[in-house]
Amino acid sequence: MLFNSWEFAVFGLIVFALYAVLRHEWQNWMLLVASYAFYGAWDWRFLFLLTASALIDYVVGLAIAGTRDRRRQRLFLTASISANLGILGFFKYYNFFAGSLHSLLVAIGVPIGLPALSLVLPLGISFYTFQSMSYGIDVYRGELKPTRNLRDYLLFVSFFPHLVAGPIMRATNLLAQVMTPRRITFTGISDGAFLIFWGLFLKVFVADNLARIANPVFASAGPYDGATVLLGVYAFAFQIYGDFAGYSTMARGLGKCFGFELTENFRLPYVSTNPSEFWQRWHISLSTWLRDYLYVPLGGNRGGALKTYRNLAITMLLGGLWHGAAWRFVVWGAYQGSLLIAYRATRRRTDPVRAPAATGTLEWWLKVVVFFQLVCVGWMFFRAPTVAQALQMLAAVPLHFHFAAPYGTQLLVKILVPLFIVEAVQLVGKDTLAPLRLRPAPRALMYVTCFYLLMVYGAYASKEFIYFQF
Amino acid sequence: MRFFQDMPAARDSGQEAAALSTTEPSHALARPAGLSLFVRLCGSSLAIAIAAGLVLEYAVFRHAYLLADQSTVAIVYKGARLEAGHSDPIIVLGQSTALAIDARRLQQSMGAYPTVYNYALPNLGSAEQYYFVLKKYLQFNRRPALILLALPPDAIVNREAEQLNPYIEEIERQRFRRFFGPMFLLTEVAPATRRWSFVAAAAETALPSANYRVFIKNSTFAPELDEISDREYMGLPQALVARNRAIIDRLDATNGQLIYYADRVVAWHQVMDALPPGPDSHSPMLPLFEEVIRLADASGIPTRLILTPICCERAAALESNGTWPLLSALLRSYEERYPSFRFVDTGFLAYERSDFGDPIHLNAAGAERFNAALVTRWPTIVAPTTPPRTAARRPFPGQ
Repeated sequence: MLFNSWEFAVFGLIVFALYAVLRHEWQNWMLLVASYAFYGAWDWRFLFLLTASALIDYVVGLAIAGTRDRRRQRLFLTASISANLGILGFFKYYNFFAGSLHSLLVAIGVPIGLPALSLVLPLGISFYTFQSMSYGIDVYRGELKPTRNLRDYLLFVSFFPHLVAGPIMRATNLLAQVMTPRRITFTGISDGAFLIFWGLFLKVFVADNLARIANPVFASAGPYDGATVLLGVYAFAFQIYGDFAGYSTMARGLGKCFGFELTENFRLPYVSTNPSEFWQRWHISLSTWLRDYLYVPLGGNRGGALKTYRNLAITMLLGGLWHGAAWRFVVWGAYQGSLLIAYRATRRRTDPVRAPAATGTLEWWLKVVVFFQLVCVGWMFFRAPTVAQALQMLAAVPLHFHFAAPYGTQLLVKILVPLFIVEAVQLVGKDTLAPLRLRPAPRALMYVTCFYLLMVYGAYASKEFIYFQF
Repeated sequence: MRFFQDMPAARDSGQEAAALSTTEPSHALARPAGLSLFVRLCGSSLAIAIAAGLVLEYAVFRHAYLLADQSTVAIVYKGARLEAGHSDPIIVLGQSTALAIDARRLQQSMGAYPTVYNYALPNLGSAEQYYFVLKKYLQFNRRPALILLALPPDAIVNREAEQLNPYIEEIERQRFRRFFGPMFLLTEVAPATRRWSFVAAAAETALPSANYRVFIKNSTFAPELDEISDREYMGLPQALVARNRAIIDRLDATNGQLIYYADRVVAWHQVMDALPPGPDSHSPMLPLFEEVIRLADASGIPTRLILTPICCERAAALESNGTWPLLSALLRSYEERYPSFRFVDTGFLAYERSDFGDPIHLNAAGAERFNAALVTRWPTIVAPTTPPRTAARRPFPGQ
């Protein structure tokens, strides 16, 4: 059941209608049932895995709180992390590591390996595993009191708007919202409706239309023309942004309608001037998760420059691997890590993230454009089927560049212009919801234009969100 | 120029009412609450957007069929004409092969009156279309004096393979809903067929922008690769509109004629690749076909059936696969059961390949030949005589 489907529209309306008439306790029961129905609509068998993953941390949370012995607490936490990573590793990475090990053994003349398993990757496993795991860690750190209410805990893990593709919510934030009574407000519905609309626009108009430009370029076996490669990678850069930010924005909008406040996952990432700012704007819930549960425990930036670089590299490498079991994601993570290290090594000490007003506008734009090219280099590894193909495509840009607009350039412009206009409003208004503060006439113009772009020019064949596979 | 309006700082719902009350103009407070809310709603961006949307829908997108393929243009034009209530005394019903009939020429052969109009439509899915076209015609027009059913001989007992093709099915579904429109689908088709998918089809058809979205997208944005539609790349949208205006002029001038191919001649292998399948006495078309005859009979409207020409290779295939005896017996049984129904043997069934633009549609030369022959036989076709019911007529040449 995709967010951009009629089935989901009907499902959402029914759930909302029931939610509106129920009291808090029953609201939570109903949302839990709805969330399980939502997840079970893909494959009911994975409901057991979802429940098992959640129960592990529920029990571990209570066990940690039940003892004051720090060693025992650490033991419980280790068990929780091992179980979570074990589930994730088995379903997501087993075949990758088995295949890589086999290749390695063959290379050194020992042709044995682990058997490949035909595993189906459970939808959203990376998201709910990380979310559930953070609960155990927060309880261990004493930042959160564990809940005894299993219903509320299960709802925190499985709340359907963010279940399969994030944002990755923390228990300190979402569980507290689950446990306290919520109110449906006009502002919540109005903001939520706008976010759902804008998310749909990003997915159905921007991402799915751009897919038709990007897909053939990356599906081609070469030889590549530099201009075509650029077109393809620019298209993919905005496709993946529209796809993922679209989902997160819709999730946030749905949450608002129900009175929940979900974390903002994207904040105009392509206006970043450096890698550090990029990761404060792109997939914010993952980058902050990695920062708080991996980078900081590794030592963060507390052990001198070299240790900081090491920690950054490990964090981004694992962040890359989180996206999928393939070397191209590892390379992408390594590339992002090296950008962060390079930025950290070269930046002036007094150069925090600066808005256009703080620096010269031209200088700011120049930095944005240059850094966007660096991001796109990373997307090439992310999107190309193999690292070798990504390298070939990358080489084609300077070596086989022909100054002719390839087929699809016009379409790219037609898709990006309306996106840029609305994002300019968001940039100036410093808020995703800034368009709602426009005066009535320009706001109406925006509604009508976006509605018809969505309605008439949207790509409606049911397409899964890219991040579902992660 | 300021684009952003001043908003109350409080986004929290608890403070919302208080915040709004401080920004409310004082004169608004003097109004009754209901009126004040009405004024606020009318001035809201959503109300402006909805008003602008309605103007766009019914002033701009309503004409978007001018960006469509030939068949859709004919369908939309004829649908609108049918609803206008011209009440033509003689109407032609049939599928795309009957679009070649120049009804104005038939009309002129009898003098200026009675008017003859060709309501033949490209395939809308199944024989259900004839029943519903007649039903809708009777809803908007006076009862006609005569119905001329013009069908190719392989449309009744031969189940075409393409009817099972989901691609064709989808295109026909789109044509069907575009012709009948939302209200008729909702009030007539859905209850009669008990297929509630027609309710969804009605919703799809209600907004012109949604109804023609594939055509608008194909011609002004990029080809819609994900949605099935009759696609004809015509270059610039202006060229497409000009082509479709010419089609409408021709529909006007000929009382509903549409010729798909001007001077194109179908290749022999294309004809051979599209030979009709064998006859089936349980063809799903049969009960639907009979429904039309029953409805006309019940409404007291005489019905004549003529067969539209087919390419001689196809005629030979029908000859060899046993279609004729089955069809002949079937038509006789209909004549016996429904007194107002009569099959008219026009005797000009098998045409040369040079008369066809594709395996089933006549080109301009073929249409000219067919219409000339029809004019000659027109008095026989419309003659109000009762056919001899007992004679075992051989309706097809060569039999």
